[in-house]
Amino acid sequence: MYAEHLLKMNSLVICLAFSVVVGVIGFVSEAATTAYLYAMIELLILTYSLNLFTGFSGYINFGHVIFYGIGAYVVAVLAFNLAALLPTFLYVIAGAVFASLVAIAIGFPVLKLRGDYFAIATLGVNEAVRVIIINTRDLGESRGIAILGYIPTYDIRSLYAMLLATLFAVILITHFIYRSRLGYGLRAIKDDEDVAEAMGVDTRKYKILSYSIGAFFAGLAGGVVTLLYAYAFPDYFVIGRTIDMLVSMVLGGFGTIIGPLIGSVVYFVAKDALLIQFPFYHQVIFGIILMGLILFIPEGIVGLINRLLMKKGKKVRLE
Amino acid sequence: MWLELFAQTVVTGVLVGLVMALASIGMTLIFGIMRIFNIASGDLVILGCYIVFWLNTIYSLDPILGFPVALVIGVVLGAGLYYFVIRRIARKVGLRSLLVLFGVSSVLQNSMLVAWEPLTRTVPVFYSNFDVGQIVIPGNKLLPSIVSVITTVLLLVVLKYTYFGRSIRATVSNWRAASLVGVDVDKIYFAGFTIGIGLTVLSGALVALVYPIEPYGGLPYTLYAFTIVILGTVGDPIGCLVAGLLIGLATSFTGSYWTQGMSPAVSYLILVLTFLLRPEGLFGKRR
Repeated sequence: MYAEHLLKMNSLVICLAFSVVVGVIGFVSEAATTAYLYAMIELLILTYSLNLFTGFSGYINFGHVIFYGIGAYVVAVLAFNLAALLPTFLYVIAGAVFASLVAIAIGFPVLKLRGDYFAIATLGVNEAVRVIIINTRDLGESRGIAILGYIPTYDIRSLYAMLLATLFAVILITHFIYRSRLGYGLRAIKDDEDVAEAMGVDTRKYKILSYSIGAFFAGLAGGVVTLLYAYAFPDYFVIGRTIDMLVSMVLGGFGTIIGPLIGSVVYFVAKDALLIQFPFYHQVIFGIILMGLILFIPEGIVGLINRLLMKKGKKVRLE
Repeated sequence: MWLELFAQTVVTGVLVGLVMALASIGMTLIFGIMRIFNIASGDLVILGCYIVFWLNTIYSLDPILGFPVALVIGVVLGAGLYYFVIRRIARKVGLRSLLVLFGVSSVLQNSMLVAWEPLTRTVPVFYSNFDVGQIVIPGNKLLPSIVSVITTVLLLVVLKYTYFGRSIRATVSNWRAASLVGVDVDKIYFAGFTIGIGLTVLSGALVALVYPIEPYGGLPYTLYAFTIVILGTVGDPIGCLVAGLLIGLATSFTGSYWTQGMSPAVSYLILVLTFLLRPEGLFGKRR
């Protein structure tokens, strides 16, 4: 019993160990490697934040990237108006909090919808927010907001530390939610929402809660990235980044603890290599990979590994 | 003065709305029959645009001759897509099909970008404008909207008066019951999907005369079509026509009286509001 429990901890231990190793490598190596790992960790955080809601509850969210964009814009607006009045990490946290508040505001009406309708509505909200920002003069219209010189930026090591801390937090939260009442409730919603509701799961509350927690972490990622680029612009809201997150999540195995990690790392490394090899065709390749994944291994890499483990008669499963 | 602006806005809205309606009829057919939301719709519209544009640029072909070409290419593409991809997910729950079609959309987008460069292109003005008093009726918008109405009427006749059309309607309302009374549902799926994609590409050919073309410009068309499909009640072509008119008017009024840039946002807000307030559409019955 005890041994099994230890093995069940495996996924979390692997994730944390991986983060520590990546973190150390990032700190000791030269700036180019740090920047590479930085982008990878950014994708990891985003995939985990999408997984917190979409992975657990089964609601496809095509508009997750707005929380990333909102985090970015809040940091830019604060930096633009307050300059270095407060420590910059407070701006980032403010951005994340604002993103999760927006999530609650959007979630209240939109989370009433189910399945396809929800997915399309999130796409609509995403585009509406983007178009509104492009047409708002105070947000720089399509030029965006440049904050170079307003606050100390470009210090990749300290930003890297911020991002790493976020990664640890999101992994721990994922693990915690996976085993909590909230996690079980969300999985019940994924299986059958009506049954879950009949069994006494407060579906509305659970969905909004996980939606806003996911938004919080996406907002954090957006804020930190703005500090690196010293710039917030409407392209933060492009659907392409949501594709990145969705493919990573499905590739790894969604609704699991270790899945987003495996998926994002494989996706990131593969995408980078493909971009160099085939600079013009990577989107075709990833479109085909996404189709193939859904058609043939919808449960992702984690599901494949678990199937292998089951065939060998092992009792352990990755989660 | 304000009367002319108002009338001009109405005319533009009606013409654009009728063109938009056709794209959503393709989508409503597919959704009605298979419960699959065609998220790649906008990219198929763009494909249709390019077909007309290139036929016109290379062979200086009249756009109206490009319409049947677009329809045929759309039908062939739809058949291939159905056979290789959609067949495998036809009766699965919607979310998997959404992600698969998302993949189709990104393949289409990227292929068009590579093939035809990220430039904004326009089909030159081809048909002369009519003046009615102070109001201009642009020929480039009039022709597509007429074609759109004719196509819709033809589709309605087929749906209403032929055996094939009746079996499509039966499948829309209840595919199990339809297959019980001897409708070959798989065949209807195939036909419905193929016709739906064909109509979507055809509508793109119409759009080419109205709007500029960019390889990445598909998403707004997808969202317009979604809005019209939901507003006009799923599976109802006449509803699409009416909802298309409403959306066309809404965007054109936003363009005239506020800013052109905001008009997509207005129609997305209509989409979200429709979902929330009247998900069964204008003409649907509350369940």
